[in-house]
Amino acid sequence: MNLSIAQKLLRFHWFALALMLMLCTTGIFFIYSATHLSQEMGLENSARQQCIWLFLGLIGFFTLALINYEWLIQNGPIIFLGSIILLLSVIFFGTEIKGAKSWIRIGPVGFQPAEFSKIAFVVSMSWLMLKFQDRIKKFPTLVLIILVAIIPVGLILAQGDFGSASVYGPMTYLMLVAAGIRKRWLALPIIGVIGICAFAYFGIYKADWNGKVNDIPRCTFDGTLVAMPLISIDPEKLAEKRQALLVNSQEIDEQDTNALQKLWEKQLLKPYQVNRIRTFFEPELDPLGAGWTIRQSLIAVGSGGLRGKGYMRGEQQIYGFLPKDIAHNDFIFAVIAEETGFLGGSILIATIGFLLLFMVQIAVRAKDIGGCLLVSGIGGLFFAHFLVNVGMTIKVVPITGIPLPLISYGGTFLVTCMAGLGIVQSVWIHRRDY
Amino acid sequence: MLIESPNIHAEGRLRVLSIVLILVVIYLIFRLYEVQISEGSKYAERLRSQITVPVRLSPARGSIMDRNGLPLAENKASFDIDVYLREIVGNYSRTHKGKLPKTNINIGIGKARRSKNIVDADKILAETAGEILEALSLDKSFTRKQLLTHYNQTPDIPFQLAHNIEFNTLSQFTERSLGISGIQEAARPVRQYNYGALASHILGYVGKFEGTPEGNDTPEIVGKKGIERTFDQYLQGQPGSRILRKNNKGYILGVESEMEPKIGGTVYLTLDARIQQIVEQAMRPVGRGACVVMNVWTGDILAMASVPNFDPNVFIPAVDSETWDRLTRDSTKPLHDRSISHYATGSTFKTVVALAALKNKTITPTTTIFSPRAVYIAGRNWHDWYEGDRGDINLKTAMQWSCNTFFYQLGVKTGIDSIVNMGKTFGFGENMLQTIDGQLVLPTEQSGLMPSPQWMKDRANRHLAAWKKRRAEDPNYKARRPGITYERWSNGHTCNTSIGQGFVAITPLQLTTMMCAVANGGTVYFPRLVRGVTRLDKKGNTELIKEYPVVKRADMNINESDMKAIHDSLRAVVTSGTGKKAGVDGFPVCGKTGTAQFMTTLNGRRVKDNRAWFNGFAPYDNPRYAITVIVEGGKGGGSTAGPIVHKVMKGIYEMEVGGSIDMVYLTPAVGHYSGVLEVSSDSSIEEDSAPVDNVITTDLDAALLEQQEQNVNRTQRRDPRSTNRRVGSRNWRFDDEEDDE
Repeated sequence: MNLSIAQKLLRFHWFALALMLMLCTTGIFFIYSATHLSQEMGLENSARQQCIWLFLGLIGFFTLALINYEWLIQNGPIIFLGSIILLLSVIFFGTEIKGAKSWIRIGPVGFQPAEFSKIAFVVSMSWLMLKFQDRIKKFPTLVLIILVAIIPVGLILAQGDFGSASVYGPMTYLMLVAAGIRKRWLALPIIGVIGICAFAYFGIYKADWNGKVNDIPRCTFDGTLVAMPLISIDPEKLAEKRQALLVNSQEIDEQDTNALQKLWEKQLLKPYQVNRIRTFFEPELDPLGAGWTIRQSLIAVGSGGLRGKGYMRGEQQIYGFLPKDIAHNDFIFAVIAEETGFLGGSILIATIGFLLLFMVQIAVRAKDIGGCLLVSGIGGLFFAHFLVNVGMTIKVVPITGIPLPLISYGGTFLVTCMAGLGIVQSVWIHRRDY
Repeated sequence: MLIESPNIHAEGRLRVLSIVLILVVIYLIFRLYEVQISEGSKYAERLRSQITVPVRLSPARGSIMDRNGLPLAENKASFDIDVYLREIVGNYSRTHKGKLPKTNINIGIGKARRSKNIVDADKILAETAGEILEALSLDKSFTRKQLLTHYNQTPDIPFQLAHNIEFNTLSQFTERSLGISGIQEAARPVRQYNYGALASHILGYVGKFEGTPEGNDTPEIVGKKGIERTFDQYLQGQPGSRILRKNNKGYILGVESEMEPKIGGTVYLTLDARIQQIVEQAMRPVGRGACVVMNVWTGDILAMASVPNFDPNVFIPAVDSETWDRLTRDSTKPLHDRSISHYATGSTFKTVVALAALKNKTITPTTTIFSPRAVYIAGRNWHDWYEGDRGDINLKTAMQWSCNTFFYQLGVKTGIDSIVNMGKTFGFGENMLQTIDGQLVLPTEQSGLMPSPQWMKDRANRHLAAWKKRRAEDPNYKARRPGITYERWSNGHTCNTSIGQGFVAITPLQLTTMMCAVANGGTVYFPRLVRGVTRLDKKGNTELIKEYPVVKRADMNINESDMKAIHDSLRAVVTSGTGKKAGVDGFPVCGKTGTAQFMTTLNGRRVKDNRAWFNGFAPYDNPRYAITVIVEGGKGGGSTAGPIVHKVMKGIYEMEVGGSIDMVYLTPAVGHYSGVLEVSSDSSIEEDSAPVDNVITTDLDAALLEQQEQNVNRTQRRDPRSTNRRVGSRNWRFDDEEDDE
């Protein structure tokens, strides 16, 4: 099936294209709203920069849409190798921004290879899964796929970018779904996620202390304040120690301290992690510390009400309670929800939902498993970002610094998303005709 | 090629995925609904509380004016200079490329005390604004430590550099400080009493609100004494509010909304500041005393002064402990308003007896009574102050020379009941000033006492009455029933009352009220101190919100000829009797003098601290002003109070014919004891006062006891029957009128 450029253009998925452009435009408007007052942080040009990236993204989008995706998959191993080299080069030559060494700077332009590698990952995993398509139900195949997937994830984690790394899970999962592995294996991660959630809620949040964060007994190891361990190997002994600490924190002698330290080392979670989980369920426990961001985000969203405060009138970001350096990227949804209210916020969620539904449709109508895998992977990427980003602003998932596709500020990610959608369009253009 | 593998697994699974996706979208929208709609108001409230700061704008307090609209108490602006230290330090840092001088300060207390290295804000301030401050010679009213501590703890709150600076200095300062950001001047309203101690007891003073504040409406400054206190609710304005916007760092970004405070109402007094000034000046030298001037046709109090007094400005903004100690420990009691405190009236009460007798038709103006140097009534001799027989005299002569024996007989003749009725007509024994919303206009006003047989009976059996009341409320009340006391009123009591001694206790204000009625021909008015309260309405027009009209109390129902006789008698006192010193050329003053004997203990010695009275009106032919003067420690009514009346009436006369009065700022009048007469430490006095003392303290009416404390006139209060012999044998004279020569 050879199509001319004109034929390809006619076969575009116009709805998906329209939704994409709508979301990008919305994003630029609200990036402007969130940053036009942030001169002191040098962010006032963010919207203009985003426009430039949008232009680059459109080029990428149309290029990939018009290329036959089969060609991409055939070059999967090369793309995989290329992305690994990029990720490695970040570790050696990267620039560190905000604790994560994930940027490569070439002159004035900086980009995050971890974002590009998401697309590369989808393409190369599609190649791998197709390669083992006939043995897909065998367990070793699954192990192999996971082992390959771990390589880029490990490199990204090495950069310290936990948020980006976490997206690879849903992406791989959805691709495995599309590839057709056994259902029992598919059920395992679901059970795992449910289990972790239940543990966080019942095991940590609803665990035996009901007081405030400050009530956690503390003792000093090497001058640092440490909270009491939560999950003890020997609960009775721990309870005794806790009681002793509560009664008189002055009388902890060295022996006790050592005993506690030993107990401590056996714990699964560090105290700050415990605190983070607990403040996730109840931000008011620590409104100025761990609960600050989620609290301010909820105030922003909640105070928006039904109709919102109007474009450029979001008080939370104007007065700086929604931190200015994240309002335009990770918390752009909070800004939108505050300024446009429930109406705007729900329309935005529905719009992204429709875009995702179109992707499912495209995956179903794909000519072959290769196309289906590509769309599933990219859909997984979008879905994970969408759910986590929107969810964290309204306290559905814990705060994780990952952006909202097509809307958040961030050039590399915008181009990545548009390239991904370009591949999706390519799959649609080369779809099965009944 | 592998790409051609059929798409076999996907469709069913992807269908499941699409359902999951739809559920997720629905859940997110639901959660968004929950946050924005269900709990929206909660978050909106939290937003308000973190981006806004409500500020209370204090209303300006209303003024207190005299009857002519002259402000006696009003607000002036106090100019302060505030420094925003953070801004100053920030500017300094910018101009000095971030090089800031550092210093160490000690913070914390006790064990936690430690040294902390902070920016030396003091030095920066000195470098930035030191020259200007020095040039203007503004006193440095703070220490370096205060400034550093302030900067360390509350850098965002302005530091008050100077307080209450003069306007000239301020304008100079404003000119020079234009270039310095972070230094601002602020004007705050401060109470001011324009004439210092003038009418200080009436005006009272304001102070900081003490107690637990309730909400934003709690005023910072409240009236503490006098009119400031009674009319506090009108003088207080409506506080305004300002909502400020702040950002996450606490910086104020601007004003969101503002409600202007409303100035409080203006209280118009009946006082005439000019007459008050005359009176205050006349009273200043006397040490302790009071003077009341009233309009006889309305009962308006034109002047009411009490010395020693105080300058209410010392209470603004707060009184320091030294001044407070001085005021409260002074034995002459500068804070005590003598014009509304009760005293034994002495001979000035004879006017009341004369009126009672005339009304009762006991005598006519021409009836003569034989008045020897002493009369024998109720088992003892009652002496006149004059060492000789007056012979057959009529009312006029008796008044003129204040003859005691005439009035002893007249009192007994007309009967205590008619005297009491007359006294009650004037309101003796009651509070005189109208109440405002159930509250006394001047809370320290005393009611005085008009003794009567019934009162004596009640008082004698008050313990029994109290017991009966308790028993009626609580049948199980087990205390022993007190016995009945058969203390009866005798003619001796009547005699004492007739010359204004004994139990009679009347305030200068009450006596003036009485004289008003005498002067105007028989209409008794309530004395009036406050004419009304005005305030600005929403359009800025003055609106009258409270008016206190002239209120008639009673009619004396005395026929004109009798009243004329009283007027003539009172005139004779001044023209040729005991009160000559009160006379004014061209302004005929009438009145009655009086001297109430009073013993007190001063520095452990018994002294005679007589109350010298003058109670009268002027002018004779067209009465307009009633006046009462009392001087504690005076020699005698005519000699001590008379000249003061003269000064006051002369001043009023000159004012009426067009003279101008200098309204000057009065420093407080100082109290002294220069007029007291030392009584020789005669052992017999000590001897007989000892047992009597007990009787008095147990018998005294509780209210009287509280007011008069140890200053009880023992001689006057003793039971006439029991002390008959001793008093008679010692020739103790009641109510001595000093000779005027």
